[in-house]
Amino acid sequence: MFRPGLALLVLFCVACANIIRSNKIPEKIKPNVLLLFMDDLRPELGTYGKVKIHSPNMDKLASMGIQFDNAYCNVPVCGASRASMLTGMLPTKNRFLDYNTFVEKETPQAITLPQLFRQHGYTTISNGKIYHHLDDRETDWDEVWRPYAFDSNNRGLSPTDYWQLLWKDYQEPVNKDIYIKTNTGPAYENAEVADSVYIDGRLAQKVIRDIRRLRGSEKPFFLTAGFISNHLPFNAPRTYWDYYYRDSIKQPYNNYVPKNAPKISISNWPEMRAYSNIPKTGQVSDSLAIDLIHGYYATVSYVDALIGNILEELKVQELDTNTIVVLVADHGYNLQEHTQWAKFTNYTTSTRVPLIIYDPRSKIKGGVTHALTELVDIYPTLSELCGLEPPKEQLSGQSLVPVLNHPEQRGKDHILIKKGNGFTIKTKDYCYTEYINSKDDSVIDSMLYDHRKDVDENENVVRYPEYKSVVTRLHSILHTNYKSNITGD
Amino acid sequence: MIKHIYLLVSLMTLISCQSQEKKVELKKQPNILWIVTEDISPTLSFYGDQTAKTPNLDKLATESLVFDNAFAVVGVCAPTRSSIITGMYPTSIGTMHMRTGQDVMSWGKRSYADHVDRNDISGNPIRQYAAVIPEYVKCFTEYMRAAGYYCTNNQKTDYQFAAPVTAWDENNSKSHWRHAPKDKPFFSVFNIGTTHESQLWKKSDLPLTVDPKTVPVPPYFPDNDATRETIARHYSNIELMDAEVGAFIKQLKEDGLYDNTIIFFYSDHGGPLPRQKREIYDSGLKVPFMVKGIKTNSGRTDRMISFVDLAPTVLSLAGVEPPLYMEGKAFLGAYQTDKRDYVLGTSDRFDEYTDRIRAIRNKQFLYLRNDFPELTKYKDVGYRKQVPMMPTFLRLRDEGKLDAIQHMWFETKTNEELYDCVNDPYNIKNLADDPAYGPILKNMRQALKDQMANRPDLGLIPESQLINTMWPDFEQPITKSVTFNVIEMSQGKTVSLSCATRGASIAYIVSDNPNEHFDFNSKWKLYTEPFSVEKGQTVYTVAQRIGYMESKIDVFQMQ
Repeated sequence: MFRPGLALLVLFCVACANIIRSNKIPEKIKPNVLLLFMDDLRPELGTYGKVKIHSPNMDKLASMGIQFDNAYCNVPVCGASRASMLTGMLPTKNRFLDYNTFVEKETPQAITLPQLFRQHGYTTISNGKIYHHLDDRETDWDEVWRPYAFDSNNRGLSPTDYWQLLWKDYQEPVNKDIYIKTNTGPAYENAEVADSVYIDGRLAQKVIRDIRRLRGSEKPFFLTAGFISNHLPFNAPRTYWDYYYRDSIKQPYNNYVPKNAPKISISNWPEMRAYSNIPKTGQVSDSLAIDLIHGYYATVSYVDALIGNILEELKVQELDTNTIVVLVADHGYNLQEHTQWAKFTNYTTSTRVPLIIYDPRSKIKGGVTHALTELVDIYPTLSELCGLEPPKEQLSGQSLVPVLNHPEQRGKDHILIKKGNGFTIKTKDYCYTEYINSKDDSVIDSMLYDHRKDVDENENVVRYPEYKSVVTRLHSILHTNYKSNITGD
Repeated sequence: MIKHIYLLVSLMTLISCQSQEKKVELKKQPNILWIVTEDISPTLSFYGDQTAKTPNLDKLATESLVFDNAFAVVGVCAPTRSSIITGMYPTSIGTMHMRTGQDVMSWGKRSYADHVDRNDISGNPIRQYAAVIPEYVKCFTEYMRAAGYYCTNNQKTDYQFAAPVTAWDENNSKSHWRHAPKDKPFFSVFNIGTTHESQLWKKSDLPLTVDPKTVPVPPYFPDNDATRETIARHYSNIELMDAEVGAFIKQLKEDGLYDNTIIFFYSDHGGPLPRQKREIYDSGLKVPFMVKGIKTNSGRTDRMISFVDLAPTVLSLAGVEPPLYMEGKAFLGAYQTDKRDYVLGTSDRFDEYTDRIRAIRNKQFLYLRNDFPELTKYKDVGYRKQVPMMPTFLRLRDEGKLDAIQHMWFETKTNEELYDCVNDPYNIKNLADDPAYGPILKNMRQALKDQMANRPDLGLIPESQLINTMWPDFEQPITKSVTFNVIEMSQGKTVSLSCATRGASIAYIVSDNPNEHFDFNSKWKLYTEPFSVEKGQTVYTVAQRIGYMESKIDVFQMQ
């Protein structure tokens, strides 16, 4: 009965498909890139199974793109991690050591990721915290901007110094006052202010202005949004604190030093102790711990809302169909796991990062991959996605494009993470760390966590006889494949 | 903008014409009936054991393909049923521990005690939970429903998670193929509890129809009156079960459907007796299994099949391509694959006792890897002690009156075990230390290693830690509400549904009544594509990710 009708309808649809095809963007136009670069954000997101967390916008981005469940930073501290990711180069004994890393000084010859894009005709804009230092590699960018930095100040401070004075951005008058007097303040704040008031709100406004401006541009863009969130202090408008009932917030079950853990592996979290309401020694009270976790969650939800505004603007300006969006953090974070706060440890809490890549051209929507990946892979990935020839003999990573096309791939056999003298080899099944004496390269102490059964890293099994062959193998990989990273030669 | 609407219109018409086409094709989709009994080994006449009289099964067997090498993955209900419904190994999806909660019948109890008097392998206390399985894994019946099948389950589920409302059209004690709309093929499951372990004591006041004096007694049991009584009870229960099978066949014939319905008969795992149920030997994993096709191959096959293969096989028979993630392989139908060389078996927590054993079996040999050899094979599971023969068995053990074979079960284990199942069907002669079997041991050990290297083994993670990854902070996650999107069309309104919880499936009902109170047994439809709604109608929605609490029912009224 309905056969003839069916044939007609099929023809009708073919006609539609043709209309679409003719509207397709010509091959030659390069895709834009929007880099959402998060600070201190571990994968504490709804889409990463943390169901209590209110992160609808990042979750939505993941549902459109590919979510990497096994992505790790190469150095678990801001400045060094950013330098490593943006040069695509691994840290060594002498390079990318701490937060105070300057790309310009440590790898002057490197062609950085934004530089590569700029060389290929992209408009490159650094908004907020991309390199750690505002005045690092300014030539990589068409524009460098941070909230407050370029406001006029009557103290004769350079933009970088002025920003340094203001970035903690308390809004409660009493905290503002303490901040001005002592250059610090409490570890969190929940002022009743609009989303646009705190420093990341200002950043988001700027990014949105850029999107509007870039819409008409003939050049493709490499646009960045370097958020302060989720860095201390956990300052977020009261609204976002109210997403979480205080009673529902729990301290981690493994708030203890792992069994057999090397003493050297456990951080005393100096970064957090610099805040006014944190004790200088010993543990925080349970009540303060809950407040800190609450603040961390609130900050996630705050920055999520800002990201939602940015992605919405991308859509409004009809740039969403030709803009690759990458959401990534410089490293992970400890929220009292193993008695630790903040970052800069060799534990997975410090090293595992959220990574979401959304390429509007991809057919795979909402894929999740367990492939083992590292931040030095971002550089070759973005250059391949945009068809840019990457520099030869500079990059340590590999393009993730094969994984984007086939999320079921298993990824790398091993990756390197370096924190001070702690060198970690992460494989699919294990996480093995050696603390190495910088004078004679001897091993001071070591730890092995069996991620097949102990992904929370509660028991160091490095000296258990049944792991002897695993330790031998991982030790050998570390001192063969990553020899130069250890010796610095 | 105009172009966009134009496209939408065309997409919508495309969808509607596709669904019309589906109806035409449906006629080619066969009905499929599963008759699933519990807790029996292949101790039936067509497997050579004439003890129980089973005329109905015998008749069915003559028209069926009888499988001589069919295996459950775990020797106990819930873990093995989780693999049947998903096509995945329990150790791959975190359902290997018996049992996670109390979601046993129908839609499940759906409440979980914070504290149970049980510990994991590291000694940490555990709580009840529903397993949160990977977000891409679904009950395979959803794919059947999406392909147009009417799916009914009567009524055991026991999947280690509460059956989501999207999994079945009907799922209770009244479910029946007879409720399927005339234009739809059905996939109907009936679970028979008559042969379950518990019926060894619950039916102890019924007359025995099998003479205890004539029953076969496996060599691992002491031969005494108590043992024979329990074995006779089991065979008597098999006879009762046969009558129930006969009733289903009769109904099918009355309905004129027998000839165009594929019928599966199998047991969810091996026998109910001690040293059978829960064990990772043939006594616990090997099952009777037969399939009556439509005008096709009856006879016997020695092809190896595993319960992970059931989901892809039913999909294959229904003409639906099994999803790539499924670990099982279809052994019948349009998408059947190569024969398998091995089946896997696993053994983890059983009620209050945790252990970890992994098994691989080919047509002749069974190899076991014991991760905790210092633990005895026997587990002092309280539930099992209700089996009438158990007190005598344990007393004889305590009095030192068991022979060497009977006593083996109460001993600690060796690191590895190897059995020649052809020549030693009771698996009582461990060949792992026999140098003559060295090469076979090495091959089997490597085969297990290779099989496990391809997949995670969530049984390695202490259960308490595993629960914390499934249920952050040990609290059940809740599925987010359904989002309702209206697309205005020239001829009415079309609605699309989405859920922000990754991996959630969505069900809906369109009604003219804005004040209805629905429950799990209401006529929920599985959401697969946008649908049209008339002005004044109300759409009720509910979503659930497996292991999460279901979302609240949301109500949208079309203005």
